[in-house]
Amino acid sequence: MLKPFRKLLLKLILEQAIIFEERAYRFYERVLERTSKDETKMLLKRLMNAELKHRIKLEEVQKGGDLGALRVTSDSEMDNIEAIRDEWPDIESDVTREEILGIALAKEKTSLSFYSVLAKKARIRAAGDLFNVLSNEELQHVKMIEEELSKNR
Amino acid sequence: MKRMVQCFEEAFDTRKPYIVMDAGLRVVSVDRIVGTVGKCGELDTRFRDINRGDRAERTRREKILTKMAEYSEFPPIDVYLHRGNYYVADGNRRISACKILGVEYIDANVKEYIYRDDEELINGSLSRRKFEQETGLKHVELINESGYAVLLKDISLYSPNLPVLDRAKEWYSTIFLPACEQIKDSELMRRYHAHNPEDIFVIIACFYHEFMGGAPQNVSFGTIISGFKFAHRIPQRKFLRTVPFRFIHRMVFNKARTIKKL
Repeated sequence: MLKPFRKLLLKLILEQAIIFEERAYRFYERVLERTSKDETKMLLKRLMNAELKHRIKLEEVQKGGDLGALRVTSDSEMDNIEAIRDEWPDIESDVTREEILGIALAKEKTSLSFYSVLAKKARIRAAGDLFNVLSNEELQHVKMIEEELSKNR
Repeated sequence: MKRMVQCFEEAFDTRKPYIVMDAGLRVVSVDRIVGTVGKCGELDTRFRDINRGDRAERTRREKILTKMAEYSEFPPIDVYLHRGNYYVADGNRRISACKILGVEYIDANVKEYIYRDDEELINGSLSRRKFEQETGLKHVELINESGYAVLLKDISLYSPNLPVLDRAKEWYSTIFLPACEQIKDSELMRRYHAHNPEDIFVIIACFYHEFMGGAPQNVSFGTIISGFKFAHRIPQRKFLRTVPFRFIHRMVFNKARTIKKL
């Protein structure tokens, strides 16, 4: 009896992840408009590209329905999912490159832990693999941004 | 006053330097046949000769209509192509029958008329010929012919292990046609109202080629369209975003715990 609700909940979790990826894309898009440094522009385009790919992958899973795949049970896990629902901050006109990268780093770390949780909770291998791939990609983003930040130190 | 079909002689100025390219035998959409050659002012919009209502003419028309309704084979008509529009040089009665029976496509020998200084059109035409020669696909109709290069690129990314002609055929039936059907049913048609579904497919393919080196593999075209719409800020209906998901979670799992206790 609870199966339909569980399926709906899992679809909703994926929807939250899609929203997160969309916000990240728009954030990088806004920053890109204000950036003049070519190197940073390239990094931002790569990040935008990756966020769009993630969005597409997640939507495909959501539509396709490997949805018996996950089980979210405790409230602490829900908190993890809730964390990705936070809004991305607005960018002030005088914001520095470091501040932008700092925000991006924090958000990428949030999504890294989000996908890690989903990967652990997945009961079907294919779904687990997908979330592992996504969390690995987020890890790459974290590294990319950290590298970019360390260049200016 | 009766509305008449367009005249090739009015649409194309033969006093300007021009070239004629033989595009060969092709399948042409009847909707894009807009006029006639050499019968200016004689045909109405359904390609009927307004000056000839005599019995001989009526009999000829009826014969063609009956044959066409019985799916008999007809020789291809001859048409001139200029700026995406076709003009009938031979076969006005057959087009008239097509219009009555609602036939959508017809075989036609096509000659393309282009002004010598119209570089964009010449390049587009060359691009289409290259596409047709390399893929063997002769019924892909784009309004913006520069898009053929994008389609070639799309085919090159599809199943690279297959021979080119097979790959093109498979791409056409498994990717291109179903995608165009989906585009036809989507609001993208409203957004890009000056384009046909094939051209919108090119716009989407172009976006993914430039942005990520091609659309992601093993993903349905519906999702590809959705990604495109998102990136271009085209609004989408998202039912799941209206559902209070923490509430559903509580309802499902608290209920589950209660049932277990019982």
